[in-house]
Amino acid sequence: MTGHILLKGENIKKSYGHVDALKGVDFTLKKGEILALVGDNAAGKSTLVKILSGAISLDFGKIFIDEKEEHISNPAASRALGIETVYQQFALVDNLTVYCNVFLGRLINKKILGGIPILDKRKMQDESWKVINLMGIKFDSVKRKVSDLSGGQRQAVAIARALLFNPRIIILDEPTSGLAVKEVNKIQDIILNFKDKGISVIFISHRLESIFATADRIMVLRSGVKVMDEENDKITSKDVVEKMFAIEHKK
Amino acid sequence: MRRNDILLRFALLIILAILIFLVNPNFGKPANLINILRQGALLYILAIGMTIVILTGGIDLSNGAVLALSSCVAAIAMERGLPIMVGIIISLAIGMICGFVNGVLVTQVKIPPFITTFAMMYFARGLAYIFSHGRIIYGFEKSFRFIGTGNIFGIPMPVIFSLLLLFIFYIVLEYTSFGVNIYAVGSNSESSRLVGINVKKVRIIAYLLSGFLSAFAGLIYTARLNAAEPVVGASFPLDAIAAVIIGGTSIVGGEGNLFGSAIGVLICTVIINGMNLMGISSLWQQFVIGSIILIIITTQTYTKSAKINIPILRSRKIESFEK
Amino acid sequence: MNLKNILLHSSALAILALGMSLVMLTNGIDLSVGSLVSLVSIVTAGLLGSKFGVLFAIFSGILTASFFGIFSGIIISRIKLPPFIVTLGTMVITASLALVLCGGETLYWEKNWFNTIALKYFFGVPILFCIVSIFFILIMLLIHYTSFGSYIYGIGSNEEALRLCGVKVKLYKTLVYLLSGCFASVAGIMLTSRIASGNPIIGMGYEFEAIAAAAIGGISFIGGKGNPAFAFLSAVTITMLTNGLGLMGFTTPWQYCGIGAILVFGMFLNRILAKVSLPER
Ligand SMILES: Nc1ncnc2c1ncn2[C@@H]1O[C@H](COP(=O)(O)OP(=O)(O)OP(=O)(O)O)[C@@H](O)[C@H]1O
Ligand SMILES: [Mg+2]
Repeated sequence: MTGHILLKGENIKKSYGHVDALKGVDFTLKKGEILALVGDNAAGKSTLVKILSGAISLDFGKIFIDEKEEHISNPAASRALGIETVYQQFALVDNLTVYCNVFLGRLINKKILGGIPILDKRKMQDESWKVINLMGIKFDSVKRKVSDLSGGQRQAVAIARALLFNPRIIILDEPTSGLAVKEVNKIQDIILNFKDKGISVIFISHRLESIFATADRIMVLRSGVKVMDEENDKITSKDVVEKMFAIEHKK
Repeated sequence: MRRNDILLRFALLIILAILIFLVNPNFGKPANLINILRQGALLYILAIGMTIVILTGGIDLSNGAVLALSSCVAAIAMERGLPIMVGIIISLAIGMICGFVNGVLVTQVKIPPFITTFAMMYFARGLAYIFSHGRIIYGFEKSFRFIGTGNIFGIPMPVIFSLLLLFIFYIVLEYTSFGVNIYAVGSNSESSRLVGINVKKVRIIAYLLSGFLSAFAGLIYTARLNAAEPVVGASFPLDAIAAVIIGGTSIVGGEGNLFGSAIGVLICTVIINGMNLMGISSLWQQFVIGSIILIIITTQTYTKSAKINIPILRSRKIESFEK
Repeated sequence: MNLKNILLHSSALAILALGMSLVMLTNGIDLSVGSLVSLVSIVTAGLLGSKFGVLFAIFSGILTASFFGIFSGIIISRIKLPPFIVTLGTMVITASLALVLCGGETLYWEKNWFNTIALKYFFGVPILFCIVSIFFILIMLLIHYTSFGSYIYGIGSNEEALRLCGVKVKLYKTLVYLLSGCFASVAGIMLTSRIASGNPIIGMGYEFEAIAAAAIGGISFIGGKGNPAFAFLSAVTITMLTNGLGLMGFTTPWQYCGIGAILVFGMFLNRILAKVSLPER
C-alpha cells in the first residue's frame, strides 16, 4: 500500500545548552504514509519537526530525501524540498489577510510597466479560495484579516498554506489542540485526504483516538530517544501509553 | 488599520481646521494652506521612514542626527566645488550607510533598536560636528536651492517631493512582496521566519530606507534654508514618532499606513500653525500635541471596544468574495 | 575628576535608571522621566522663591512628579494603552508645562541651605549619592523581600496569569509608574540643587539615557528579566566613561561619537556576559 522510503533521518541529535532534546533518533517515512509522532511533554517531538522544517539546525546526524542527503539550513530550503509544516503556535500572522497568509513567503508577483514586480492579489485570492474550499471548511472571504477567524478556520488557513504548493511531505505539530470535537474530525478527514493524494504526513498529537484513527505507523519518543516504532494495527493504545511513560511490565 | 481609525483622524483634522478658521479666518487663505503643506513636507518625509521602521517593530531615534550629518557632508562637498549631483549622491549614500549600520546592529548583533539608534544619534551628531567644525555652511547654487524653495504651478517643491514619496512608498507597502513582508515581520517575526521570509533582510532594508529618507529630507532642508549646520534636527525623531502615532500606526509594529501618518503630520502642523496665528505662545505647542496623542489613542480604543455602530465609522465591511 | 565627582555626577542618572528598570521589568517604558525632571526643577525652584520654605518646595516637586506618574500609570493599566505612547504623551505635555510655568527662562532664588547641600559630603561620599544609595537599598529590599517585588517580575513575564491568580495587576502597574515619577522628582530636586537654579530643559534626554543604562544593565525590553542593581551600576559606569572622555581631552564632538560607541559596546558586552543572545536558529 505504501511506496518507497521518501524521508530518512539517521542518528539525529540536538541539544539546547544543557538540555539534550534529541539523543540520536533514527526514523523513516514512506511515500503516502501517515506517521504519528507521540510522546510526553518535552520528549523532543517539536524539536524533530523543527529540524525537518528548517526552523532550527541539527547538531549531528543526516537527513536523506529520496536517498539523497540534504542539508535543511532554513525554512525556505525545507519548503523547496517539498516539505510543508503547520506549526503548533507560530502558524499565522494576525494582521494580514487570509490570502496573504496562505502565500506568505512565496507571494505571487506580476510584472507591470515592463518589469516592475507588483503583487498579483487577484490570483492569490482565487487560488487560496480554491484550496480552502477544497477542505470543506466554512469560509466567507479570503480578504478577511486572520485575527477575525475562529480556531478551526485558522487551522484551515494554515493547512491550506501547506497544501497549495503540492508538497511531498506535510508535517503537522498538534493540529487538533484546542479545537472542538467537530473540527478535530474535520482535520482527521483532511489528513486522510492527504494520503489519498499520495502526500506523506508526519503529525504530532496527544489524542490517541485521533492517532489510531488516522496513522499508518506510530513512533514514540521519550526524553529524546525513540522507544517504539510500530505499524498501527500491530499495537494497542495501552502499548503506546506504556512506552510513553516507561511503565514497567510486572509479569 | 481599519478604515474608521483613518476616518476618526481625518475628522479630527477637519474639526481642528474649522475651529482655527473660525477663530482666525486668515488660516483659510490659500497662501497659509500652502505654507502648512510646505512646513509639513519635511516632517512627512521623515515620518515615512519612521512609519516603515515602526511597522517592522523597530524605532529610529537617529533620523535627526543622520539628517544633520548627511547634509553637512553634502554641503561641505558642494562648498569645495563638487557638482551638485555628487553632493546629493554623497548625502543619500551617507544616510543609507547610517541606516544600514543601524539595521545590522539590530539584526546581527541583536542590540535593541532603541539603543542602537540612540547610539547612532550620538555618533552621527558627533561626526556632523567634526566634519563641519561646528560652523554653519551656507550659500549654495540656485539650481540646488530650487529643490527647497522652488515651485511648480505654485506648489512648493518639498510638497511635490513628499507627495511623490507618499505615492511610491504607498505602492511599495500595499502592492509589493516587500511591503507584505514588512507587515508580516512587524506583526509576528517568528511566523515570518518560519515561512521562509528573510526577516533580517527586511529589517535592514527598513532602517536603510529610513536613513535614505532622513538624508533626502536633509537635502530639502539645506536647500530651503540655504545653510547646513550640525545642530539641526534634535527634535525630529520625537516629532516624527508623535506624528506617526497620531496617524494610528501601532507602536509594536505590523499595523498602520502612510495615509495615517500623513494625517498625523497634518494634525501636528495645523496645530502649530493655528497656534501661531492665534498668538498663543509656542511653549504650549507640545502640550497640545501631547494631549492630542492621548485623546486620539484613547478614543480609538473606546470606539474599538464599544463597537459603535455609526455606518460611516463602521469597519470596512468585507465584501463576500465571488469566484 | 575623581571618584567623588563621578558619584556626584552619576546620582541623577543612577536613580532614574533604577526607576526605569522597575518600569521595564513590568514590560513597560517611561519616556516621561526626563521632562518630569525639568518640570520638578521648575516647580521646586519657583517655590523656593516663595515664602513657604524649602521643604514645601521639595514636597511640591515630589507631588507634581508623582501626580504625572499616577496619571500615566492609570491610563496604562486601566485603558490599556501602550506605555510607550502614554508616556510619550506625558513627556511632551510635561515638557511644555515646564516651559510655560517659567516662561522659558531659568529661575533663581535667594541663596539658602538648599543651594549648597548638593556639594556637601558625608564621610567623603557626596550627599546626593548617599540619598540615591538609600533608594537603591530600598529598591533591593523591595524586589527581593516583598510580594510587590515579585509581582513586578510576574507582570513582566505573564501579566494574564497573575491577573487570573487574583493579583491586583492594575494597582501594581500604577504603583510602578508612581515610583518612576517619584524617582524622577528626586533626580530633579538633586539637579536643581546642584546647579542652584531651575532649568526648564535640564532633564532633556535623560529618559533615553536611563533606558540605555537599564538596557545595558541587562534589563530586558520585554520585561520580566534583569536586576535593577546592574542598571544602577551601569548608570554609574556610563557616567564615568562619558566624563572620562572629556577628561582625556576629547572635544565635545568626539565625546558624542564616544558615547555612541560606549552604548553599542556596552550592549554588546551585556549580550556576551549574560548570554542572552539566543541563537535565532
Ligand atoms: N528554544 C529552546 N531553548 C531551550 N530548550 C528548549 C528549546 N526548545 C525546546 N527545548 C527543550 O527541549 C526539550 C524538548 O522540547 P520539545 O519542544 O521538542 O518537546 P515536545 O515533545 O514537543 O513537547 P510538547 O508535547 O510539550 O510540545 C524540552 O526539554 C525543552 O525544554
Ligand atoms: Mg511540542
